[in-house]
Amino acid sequence: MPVRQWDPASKAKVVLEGLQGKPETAICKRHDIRPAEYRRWRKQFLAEIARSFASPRRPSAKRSPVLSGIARAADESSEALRVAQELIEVLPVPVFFKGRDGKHLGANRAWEAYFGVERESFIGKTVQELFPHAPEVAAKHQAVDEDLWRNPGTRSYELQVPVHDGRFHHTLNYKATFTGPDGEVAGLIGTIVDITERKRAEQRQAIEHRVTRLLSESETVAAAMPGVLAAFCESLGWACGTRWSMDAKAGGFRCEEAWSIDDPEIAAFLAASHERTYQPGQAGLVRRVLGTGQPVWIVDVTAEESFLRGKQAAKAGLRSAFALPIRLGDQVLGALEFFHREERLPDEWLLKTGVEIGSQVGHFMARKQAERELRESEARFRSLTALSSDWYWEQDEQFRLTFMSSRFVERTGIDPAPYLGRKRWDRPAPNLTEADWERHRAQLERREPFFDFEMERASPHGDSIWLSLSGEPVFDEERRFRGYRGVGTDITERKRAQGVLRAAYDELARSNAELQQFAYVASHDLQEPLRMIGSYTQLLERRYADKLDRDAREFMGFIVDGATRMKQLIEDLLAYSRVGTRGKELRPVQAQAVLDKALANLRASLEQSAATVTHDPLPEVSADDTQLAQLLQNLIANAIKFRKKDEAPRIHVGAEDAGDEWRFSVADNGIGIEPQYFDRIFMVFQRLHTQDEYPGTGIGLAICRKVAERHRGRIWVESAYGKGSTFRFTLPKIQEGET
Amino acid sequence: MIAEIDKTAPPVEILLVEDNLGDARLTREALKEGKVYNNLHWVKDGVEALDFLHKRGKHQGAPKPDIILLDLNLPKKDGREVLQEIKADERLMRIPVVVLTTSKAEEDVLRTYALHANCYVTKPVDLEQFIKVVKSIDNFWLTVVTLPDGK
Repeated sequence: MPVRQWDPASKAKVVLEGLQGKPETAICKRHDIRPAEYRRWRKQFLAEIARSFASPRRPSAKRSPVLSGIARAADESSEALRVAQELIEVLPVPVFFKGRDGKHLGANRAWEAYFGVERESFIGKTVQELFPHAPEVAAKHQAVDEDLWRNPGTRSYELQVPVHDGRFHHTLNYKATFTGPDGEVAGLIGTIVDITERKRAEQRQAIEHRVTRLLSESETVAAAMPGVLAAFCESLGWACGTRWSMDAKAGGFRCEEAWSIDDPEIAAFLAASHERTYQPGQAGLVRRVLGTGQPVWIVDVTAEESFLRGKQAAKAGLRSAFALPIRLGDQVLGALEFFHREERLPDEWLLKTGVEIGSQVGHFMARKQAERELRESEARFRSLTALSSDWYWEQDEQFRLTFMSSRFVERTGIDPAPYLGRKRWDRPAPNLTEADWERHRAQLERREPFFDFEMERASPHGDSIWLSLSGEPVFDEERRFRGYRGVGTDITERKRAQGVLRAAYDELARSNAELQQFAYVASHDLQEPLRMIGSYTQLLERRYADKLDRDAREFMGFIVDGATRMKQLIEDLLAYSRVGTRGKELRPVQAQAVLDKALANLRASLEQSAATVTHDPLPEVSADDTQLAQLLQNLIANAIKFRKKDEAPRIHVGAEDAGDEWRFSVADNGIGIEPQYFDRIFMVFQRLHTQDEYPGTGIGLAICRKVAERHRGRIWVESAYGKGSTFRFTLPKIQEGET
Repeated sequence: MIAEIDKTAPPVEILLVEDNLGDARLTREALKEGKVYNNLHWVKDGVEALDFLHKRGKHQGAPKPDIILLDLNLPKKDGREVLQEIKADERLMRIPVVVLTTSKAEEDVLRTYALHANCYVTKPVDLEQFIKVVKSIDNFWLTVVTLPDGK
């Protein structure tokens, strides 16, 4: 490899790369030079520059558009130096010179641009005069300078300084002394490298790292927040920070946690912040953040009228503040707020960093919320399973039982071990047939939930345990079937009770049937002796009337009369018992035809009583036509029988639509019924009159009620004594599909 | 009270199947008041009724009845079975059968069996009515015998 020949101008270029902030190793590698060589070049370069400034013929700044001192020196120095001077002028890196008296001698264009100051206005000024609003910055620079005067050489240090836009930038300052012709230190040359980008990236990384660690190690937001706020404030030099949360109960938001540097006045300010609850709005700091969801920056809180804590902030020496929302997606969970003791202009990067932390906190809060909900849900599930008499089970995609909660054995006394790993139908269940299992398996294959699947299992004591199972299919995130889970209940007791109930029902049905039969047979067999009594009494009268006196004949009349009435009673009782036992199936019938039949049966008495019967249009109903005819016939017959002596019966048969049912009525102008008897008249053998007044057995309305009830209807009476009665009964309408 | 009976014509052979002594006697008394000259043959149960109709055992010389009055509640073999056998037998099926029932209800039930009885009569408690019933059987009979293709 040919060895490159380095002329002075090339050497100067290499050195300037370093002055621009490029690391030494990178420069050496690029130009293929040894670090020692590079350092030697740099030393020579700086010494030559410095010497040029030490010339007694220092130029006035005004005369030269270029760095005056360097230009003058260049005329008298080598070509390399001239090139270097020009390079310095056009360098994008700020370069400046200072005399031994601490006053500035000159600077390049980059320096002017960086600080936003014309060189003419600062030459001859001290650093304190340059940074009138940042005394801390000036002090630091001066301290380094003084150190250099004492121990000449080079120094480099980092410092945040306010630049052209008033904002503070991170700078890496490099300073080196130079000597005059007398060999004494004559001043220093300095360069400034803006490392804000790198510094901020580092800071952001450091903050985020610290916040992430804090959040991962903390159980609650409250525990994590002071550290999170400290991480931000300490890294970036802010005085204090707070977290605000929405408080649904109080209907506003309030300060939750805070961190501050050690200062009693700031502590007092924060204490005041905790005192009240605020409402979101369009002004102020946190109020506006929560009202708008956007970050807010106030350069001077002491001058901002809408900032409610302005006085306390001023007392605490706080000046600038910003706040930003804690977000989770679109949801604003709260806000973070920071204060600085000096005036700070709005800083995009700072806000972005804050928003990033806000987002981290938001996610943390959401995760904690989810964890809390999960814990609560688990606690609910635990107490549910602990308190419930049901047990919980799971089975895999092959329908094999994989889990059975302990409640199973507690409830049933059955060891679940033989069932685990097996399908439900692998173990005997005496109540289920192969077809039942087939249906159940088909349901599971269709991945359908199932409810109250009843199964009989053998208990260890040899008797039966009845189980009722309900289950639902389980799918994973990819919608793949994973099996079933569900609950089970011991329904042995219920089954036993059902059995008892069923037996009682059967017994009741049997005894009821027996009773019907009994009533039928009894009334039937009662007739024969009655007939003997009646007939033979009459035969006696017929054959031996002339041998009997009047009393005997009268007595015999009573015997016959009693027997006849008894026969009627028995016939009616038989008819009553037959409503339940001998009824026909209900089918659609025209009520009009039924009424016609009833009226035909009553023709004789209708004519005899000169009754008039009117009726509404009658609907089609679902009925046993014979029984319905009997019902109408009995009601109409009663209306005729219980008529007023001086008034011909007027009877109206009505029918009205009452929603699900038809409401029929039979109204008359008869003698009426007193209200206290409204219920009684529908009972068997209950009569309101003597045989002499109105003959009858008292069974007609009882039959009516039985017929109405058999038709799933009701019957009742409305009546005003002396003014007539209206009997009403209902019949259900014919349902859709019932023909 | 008892009407004149024309004894010149051959008597109507009546078979009464009735286990109740009282009812049997009543029937006999009622027939006495009727117009028809009759021979009342009285058997007390279903088995004996069929023996009579088939001229078996002690009824070997029994005449073929012109009409049968059949009670339903009989010992050994009840009226329904007797009626069924009569109507199933070609030689007997033309004999008119009057079924005597105790109640209207019983008659309704019987009709549902479709036993082809010629007539159902509910035994009344009232003697007058009973006599009327027997007389109506009389009339029925007279109507039947006047038919050209009758007996």
